[in-house]
Amino acid sequence: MESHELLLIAEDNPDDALLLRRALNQAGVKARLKFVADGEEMLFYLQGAGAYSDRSRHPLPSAIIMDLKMPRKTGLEVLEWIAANPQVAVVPTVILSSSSMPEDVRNAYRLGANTYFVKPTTYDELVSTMETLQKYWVSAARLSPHTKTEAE
Amino acid sequence: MLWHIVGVVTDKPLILMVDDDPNDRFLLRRAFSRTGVINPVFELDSGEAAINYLKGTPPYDDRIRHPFPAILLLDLHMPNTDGFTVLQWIRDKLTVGGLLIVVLSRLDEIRYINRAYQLGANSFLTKPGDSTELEDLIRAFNDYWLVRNTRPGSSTSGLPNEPGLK
Repeated sequence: MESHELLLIAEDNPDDALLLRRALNQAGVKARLKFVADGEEMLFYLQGAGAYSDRSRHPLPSAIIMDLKMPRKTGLEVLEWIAANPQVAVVPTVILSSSSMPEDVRNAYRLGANTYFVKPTTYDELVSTMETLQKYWVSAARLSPHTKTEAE
Repeated sequence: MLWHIVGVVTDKPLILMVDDDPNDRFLLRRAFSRTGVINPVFELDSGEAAINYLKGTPPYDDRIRHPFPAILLLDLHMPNTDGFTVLQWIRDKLTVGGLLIVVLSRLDEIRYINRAYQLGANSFLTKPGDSTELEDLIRAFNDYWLVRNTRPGSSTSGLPNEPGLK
């Protein structure tokens, strides 16, 4: 992701958030990283509510990374809200979950997740997963350029 | 209807390729083969055929010969039933969750990209200008969707479970 782009990440465990930030940097992700603590804060951000009401400072992200099991609002609840809001539904959502249970995978896709990764258990694998994401979503796939759409 | 399938019976997930342009289908088929994709690829030349295949209506009613695909590689600009109509049909009629949809199109304006994502495409790829770039793209597609990404159904049987019709 280019430097002017934003990656919105929900991670409730501060240590995991730190590791994910390091892994993203190491994988060469150039996007600005914004971490939120849970599904509820993710929704506030996407809705532009409360502390996130200023869209020029808190623009819609180019992509979202989140777990399914989060406090207050789960990843599935966030996916449901995204699917019901066309302006946000153009943002690819990457599920990074510790669960490999088939019903979790299926429910995530059913509610509109774009892609699903089981959270790696080692740091090296986490870097490799972030490299995979960077390589595909930045070099190959097309993302919705929000900032441009909103300026139009 | 045109098709080619690698091997007669395989447990590798099926890629359903939908494109009305025979030249593009040829180049895609060649790119799949040259990048070493061993998954079966079934080709359809229209949006109508894609919907019939997903519904399992004749001539696609035999799920042994015509298994439900794991991945739909979908062109957008097609006569009569275009790719957007197929996306809308899948969204309305299929209990989704078992099918990954990757759009591959030359329509790369922002509004088309947004509409495809809004209608449930998992990813949007732009058709490149030449066959070398297409091979690179198919290599990235293969590595990402067939190898790295966790597919629905892939954690148990290795086969996608067919979603029901609503």
